[in-house]
Amino acid sequence: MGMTIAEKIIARAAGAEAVRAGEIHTVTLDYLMSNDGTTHLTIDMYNKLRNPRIADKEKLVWIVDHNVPCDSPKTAASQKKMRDFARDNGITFYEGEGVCHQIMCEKHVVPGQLIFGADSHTCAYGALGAFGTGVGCTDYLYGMVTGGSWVMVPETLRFNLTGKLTDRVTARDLILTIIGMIGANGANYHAMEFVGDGMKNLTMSDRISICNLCVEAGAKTALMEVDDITLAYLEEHGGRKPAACFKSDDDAVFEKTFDIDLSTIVPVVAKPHFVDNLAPVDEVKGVKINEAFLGSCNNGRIEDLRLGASIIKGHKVADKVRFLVVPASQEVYRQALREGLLDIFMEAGAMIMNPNCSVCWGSCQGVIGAGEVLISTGTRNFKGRAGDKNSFVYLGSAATVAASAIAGEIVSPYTY
Amino acid sequence: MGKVFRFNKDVDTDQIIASQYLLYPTVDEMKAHTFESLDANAVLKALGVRAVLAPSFARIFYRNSINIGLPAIVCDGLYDAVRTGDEIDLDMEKGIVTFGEQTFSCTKLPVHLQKILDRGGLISSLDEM
Repeated sequence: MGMTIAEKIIARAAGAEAVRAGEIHTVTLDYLMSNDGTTHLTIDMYNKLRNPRIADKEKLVWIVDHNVPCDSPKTAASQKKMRDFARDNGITFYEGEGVCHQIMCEKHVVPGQLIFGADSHTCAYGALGAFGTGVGCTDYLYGMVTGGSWVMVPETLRFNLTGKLTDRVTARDLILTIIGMIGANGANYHAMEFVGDGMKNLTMSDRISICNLCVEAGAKTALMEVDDITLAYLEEHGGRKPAACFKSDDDAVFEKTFDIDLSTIVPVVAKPHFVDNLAPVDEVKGVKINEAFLGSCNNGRIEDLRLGASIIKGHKVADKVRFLVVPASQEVYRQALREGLLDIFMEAGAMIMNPNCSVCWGSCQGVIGAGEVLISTGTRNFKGRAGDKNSFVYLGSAATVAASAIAGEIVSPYTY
Repeated sequence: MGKVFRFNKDVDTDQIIASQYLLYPTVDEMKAHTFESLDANAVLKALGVRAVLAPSFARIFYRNSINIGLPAIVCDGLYDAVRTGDEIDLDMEKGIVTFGEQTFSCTKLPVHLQKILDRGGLISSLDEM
């Protein structure tokens, strides 16, 4: 019996010839990523150990991205703890360079790896053919001390993509549609694997966006095959070489296979307060907004900024509406600067922020008040996620967000 | 042998703490923003629960459980076969649940993971390595 990509990566990490869904295996981890959301808690637990030690500091990547620059004495204390520990222990450390998953994709992840990240959206690394999964501090600490962990091999839901997305329909619309279709628990503890002829029409930016959001369907991880597009991205980003390139075997077992024709996808939004609370954009048009956000690990890449800029060029942000544009990394920021995109956004009246999680995280910048409405390319729209517990977050694509920022209400991306 | 307590739905820990409060420097400061049960699994363990069996688990619950030394076992079919008060036998090494004449296959826990459970969970096991 053949294996899925997920099974092959775990088999590699477990040093086993074959593994099957449902089994539990002891594995060696390739990377352990942690950000300023929880690293200070991990450090506290580490310091209480009888014999604190780090198995392999080369595996650790620490990234300050949630509150950048720091906004309060409390978070300053948490970040100082993280910064000092990283310095004292020689841990790879980034601060202000971008959102953690974007940094990992740009600089570290290679195909075939098994990676733990102390952040829900670690499943983004599947775009590079790596098994990324989110863990809490306890799991992180165990991995940090031993270099390994335990994993249950997930069943796989396979998505066979054909065709091509139409104009102004994005990968974000695709993955929101899928989450709406299978539900917020539809992929609980599963791997979501994306294959098919349609993959050649999806850029690395699209692929990261798709894999990144799979956790919102409950997935443990998301996975894609490595192709020329993946290899070109790795080459452009430091000339990185794959550890291993896996494809599911013909006789691998999938719990279910979904066939999706990309040309049938339409612009959608997730309504408050759940990511699977889906509606076509046309159904919610006219909802007044107070703020629009273009950024995050889901949609803060250069392709998203290009799309947003192409729509807002020559227009103005609506009166009394704030439009935050937040490139996902310094690399994206500088590229956007070179292409004149930031100028287009500023000309329209948008605020350009430094690379960070921004209002997607609802703590640092751009938080919204009671009764306010945000249209966002962020990852989540849970109650209170972007600020006051009585505020409302709609999730949509870069195109929908940019168009809505001009209109001052949610509109179709075809409006301008 | 252990006594069965059958529940309707599994516990969801996802909403216990709003994520932005995680940035606070200490757990004590975060506690002000959590529901009463900071860790649902720890509460179950403290109540004397020896294992949690279910057809499926939300991932956070599953990992938390094993990590604090409370076995979480995936077992199909058992849920519909038992009622509260029934006595069942769980063999984690073989991956078998026995209820009277009936047997159900369940998750096998590798020796390595058994050791973690025996030592009271992930962090306790680090102290004994």
